[in-house]
Amino acid sequence: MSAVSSLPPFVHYYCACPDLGANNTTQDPRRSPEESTSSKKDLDPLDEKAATTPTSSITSQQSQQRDQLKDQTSIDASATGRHLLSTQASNYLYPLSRLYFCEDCHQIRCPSCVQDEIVSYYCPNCLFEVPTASVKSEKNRCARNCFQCPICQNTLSVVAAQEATPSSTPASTGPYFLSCNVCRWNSKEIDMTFEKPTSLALQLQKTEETLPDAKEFDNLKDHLEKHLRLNVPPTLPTSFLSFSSSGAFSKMMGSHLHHDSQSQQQGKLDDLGSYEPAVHVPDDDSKLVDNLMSLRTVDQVSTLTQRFSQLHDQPYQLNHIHPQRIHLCIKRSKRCRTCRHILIKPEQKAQATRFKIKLVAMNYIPTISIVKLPRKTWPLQQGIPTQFVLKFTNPLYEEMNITLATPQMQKKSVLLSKEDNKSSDNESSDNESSDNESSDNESSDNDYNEQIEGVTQIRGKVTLLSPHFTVGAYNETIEYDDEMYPTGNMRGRSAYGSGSRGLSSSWINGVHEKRNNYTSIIVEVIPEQTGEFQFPLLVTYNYKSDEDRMDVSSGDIDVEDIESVDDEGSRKANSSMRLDDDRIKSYSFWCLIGLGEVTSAESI
Amino acid sequence: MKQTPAMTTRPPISSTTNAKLGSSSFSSSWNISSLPSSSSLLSRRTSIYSNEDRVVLDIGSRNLKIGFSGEPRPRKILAFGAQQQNNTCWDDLYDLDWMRSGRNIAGAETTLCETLQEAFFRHLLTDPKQRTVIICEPPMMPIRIKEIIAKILFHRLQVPALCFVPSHLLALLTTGESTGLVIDCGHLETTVLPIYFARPLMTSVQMTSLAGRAVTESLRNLLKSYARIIQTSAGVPTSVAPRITVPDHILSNVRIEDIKSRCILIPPNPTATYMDNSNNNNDNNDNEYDNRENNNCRSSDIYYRLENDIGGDTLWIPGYVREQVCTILFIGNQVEEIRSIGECILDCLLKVPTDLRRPLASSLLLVGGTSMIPGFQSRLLQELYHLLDNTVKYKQLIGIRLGFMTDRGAGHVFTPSCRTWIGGSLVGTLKMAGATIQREKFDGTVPDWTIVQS
Repeated sequence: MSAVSSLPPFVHYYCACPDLGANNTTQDPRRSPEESTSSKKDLDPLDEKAATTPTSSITSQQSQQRDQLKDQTSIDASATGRHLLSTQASNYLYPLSRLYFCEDCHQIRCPSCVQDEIVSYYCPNCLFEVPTASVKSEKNRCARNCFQCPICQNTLSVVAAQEATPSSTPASTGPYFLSCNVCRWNSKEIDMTFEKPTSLALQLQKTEETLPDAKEFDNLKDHLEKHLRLNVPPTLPTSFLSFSSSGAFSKMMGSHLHHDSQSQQQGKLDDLGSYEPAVHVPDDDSKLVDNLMSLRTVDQVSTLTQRFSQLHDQPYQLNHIHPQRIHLCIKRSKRCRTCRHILIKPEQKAQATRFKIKLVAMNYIPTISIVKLPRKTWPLQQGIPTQFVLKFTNPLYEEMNITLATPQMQKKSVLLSKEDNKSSDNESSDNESSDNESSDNESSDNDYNEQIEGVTQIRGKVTLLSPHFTVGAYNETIEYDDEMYPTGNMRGRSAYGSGSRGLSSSWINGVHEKRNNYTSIIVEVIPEQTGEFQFPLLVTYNYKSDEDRMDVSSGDIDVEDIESVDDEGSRKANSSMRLDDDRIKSYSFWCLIGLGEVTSAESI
Repeated sequence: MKQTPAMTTRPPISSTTNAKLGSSSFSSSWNISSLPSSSSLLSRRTSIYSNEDRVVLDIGSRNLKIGFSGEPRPRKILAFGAQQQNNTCWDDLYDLDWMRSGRNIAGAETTLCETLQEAFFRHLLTDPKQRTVIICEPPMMPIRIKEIIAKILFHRLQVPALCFVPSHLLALLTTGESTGLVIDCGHLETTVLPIYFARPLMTSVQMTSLAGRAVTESLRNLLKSYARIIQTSAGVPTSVAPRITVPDHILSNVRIEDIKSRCILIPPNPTATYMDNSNNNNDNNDNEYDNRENNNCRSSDIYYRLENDIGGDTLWIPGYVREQVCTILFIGNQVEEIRSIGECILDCLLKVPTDLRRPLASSLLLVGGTSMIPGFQSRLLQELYHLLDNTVKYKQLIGIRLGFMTDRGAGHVFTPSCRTWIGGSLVGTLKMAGATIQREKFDGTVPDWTIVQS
């Protein structure tokens, strides 16, 4: 049910979407960031500690940068991120591909905080764009020659009984029938053939309308309508009880006891009179039972899916199911519910795959992917430290500074002792940075945690070896060029490494690889419990924005549409956007990283 | 309200309700009958959205039937959770003791939200902002689910107005008559509701938790005990191939559902085993099974192929299993004191005023997907007569003539699973529906029939 329950590794992004209904219940996990704002101040000193504890030498420039980021983090982030582990949060977690980004709100938008609007109707098979007027009369189905197989629901094709040869006249190629290229079903099996290969849908729709249930329905409608015309009652029922409270007894008793004109009228109203059905469909249940009794295999019995494709009789017998016309599809545009700006607007034509407006999150926020390191144990095992790589890809034309944070752990004493061990370990090994984000905020605001019910703990320990790093800018030429661009910005790089170049040396800082527009960093996890291992991650990034060159150049918005979009009035009210000066833009979001099942060490 | 497990979905009917409406106090019923608020569903309401067809939704715990009013059949039946990628399990939207057990309300909301979104934009292809919605309301649907439905429709999909209409009444409407005893045998529960002249007699409503899900559980247990897997992949003839018991992973929900919808049936003449069964319900040992199989089982064994899991193996389903799966519906569960469907119907007839018994008993109407299992109706009739003859409790009903509405009139023209929806479609097209909630006036609350309005 929840996307989180899937076991393969994943990165899901959290959408802190605004509440749609004003009168929502307060238990809503989406509220938790707001509720916890008061506790953020308490966290501030801890954050400071986080910024200063790293033992590796920090240049002044870097610490300045960190201060700035820390500041943002404390403002932007909800307090701990542990709300991401609650069961309710799974409703707000999505893979990046399903998310949009509203430029005006400067926020991620998920499918529940956008509103859909219909742009056009088309048949997915013949790609005919159906005019709105005829959609209804054709019952949302294609009125041309598109049918779906009654057995496997794939597309049927129209086939002539005889192959057309150049010599033969067109008339001699008939009759025509429908054939499924997937399951080899053809409509001759149910004695369905056509004289002409065109407008088959029309012929089928006619038979649809003369089915007994349609006749009976119309008859019922007429009957009830006649009744209603005669009786216009004073008031209306509201519920089960008001139905029962008024009618039955008044009809029965009214004539005997009250001689009340109203109750007599009521009685007349309730009596539908005798009804003459238009058709009579006899019961063939016993025949069906007999048939089923002697069955040896189920091949000739329809499945529920097949039965549901023919709702008027839902036959058990497979050969009673007829091909259906193919259901139409729609193209949808999507609007941000907060500011009403359009986020997605497809081209109206069915054949066109282009979008007039396409503000997808993938073009705005870094793509995070999980990479397994060679020679590391996978799946994770209990108690065994495992390193893996998180790869951040920058979609922007500007270089990005990224800061990561994970929530603190709860068991304070246990962690402190572990922390001690850990730091002594770190002193001996050069390969690991001692920057241990996972535990630096460890005196957690317990009140907050108690507020959220059903929160599960992170099943182990997460260490980000490099919580601050830069990602090079995106450049179209990267896609055509296999050659490596070792770094986009030497200045940013020198902040980390002691003049190191190449891959191996950057390992020191926990950066595994930095190329083109992506940077991979190393994360170490120590699973402590079996079960699915997942942890929240707060990603904060900033970049020098160059407003003018966005959008048009990236092809997200057609030039002709820009004006109409802007006219709708921009409402830039957002807490998580912060312009430090005019040109630095920053944004932070939570994501949940799942690493799959942890197995116990003994079982291997 | 003897069925305590059944009634937990609703707050118990308040004592004032019983005092006012209980069948024991006739005089007070007369008082109510003379109240000025006399009206029924069979009354017309003009709508400001009169030009558009309405959208009719029949939301159950398992399926959602969708379509437009004025059409003789729903457009589509959607299963909850089916649009998820891993379609390995079907989650019920809600449960009978859902409120008490504190189930995943947010999860239900998400599922419902996604399914409704899908319903409007993938199947109905209509903008919900322009459509009034009619919702068929089963009497035992938790009020929380009603609230969630209203919230999603108003806030997320922004429908202009919606109204809830009692599902049993809608089903009855499809027969063209206004009096009948409607038996809704769905997935979670079977509800029996008498309707007299379009008035649901709510105080006589009876329900039991024996319905589709009970059949599924019964099927699972029987398959585990009696079915075998034949490993035909080894290349030996079926007759001598090794037969192993069925491991749990084979019996996934989807497969169980498939077997349920394709293999099982209800044999017409169970009377021979019936008494045994009800008396020695607990000692189901193998000897008894063998005897019964030899003596009474008329259905053949089915060889059900399991292509997908273990290459080419076959699940052998004995005819006995196919026939006995549904027995649970008709014998009830003495240990847990769950009444059978037959008992529910007769209890309901005992509860209604004496004069109404005869017209109601001769107008039984079966609706709901579970009642579509082949042989259901004739078996139910047999069981009812059997109960009448053999149970002291029902002595005063002896001699009553039982009859199904589908045996006269238009017959089986509509499928039982869709009747409720079709009634909703009729109500929508005739604009008869009752109280409508407008979006502007929606304050998070929905009408609750268990609360008496003054």
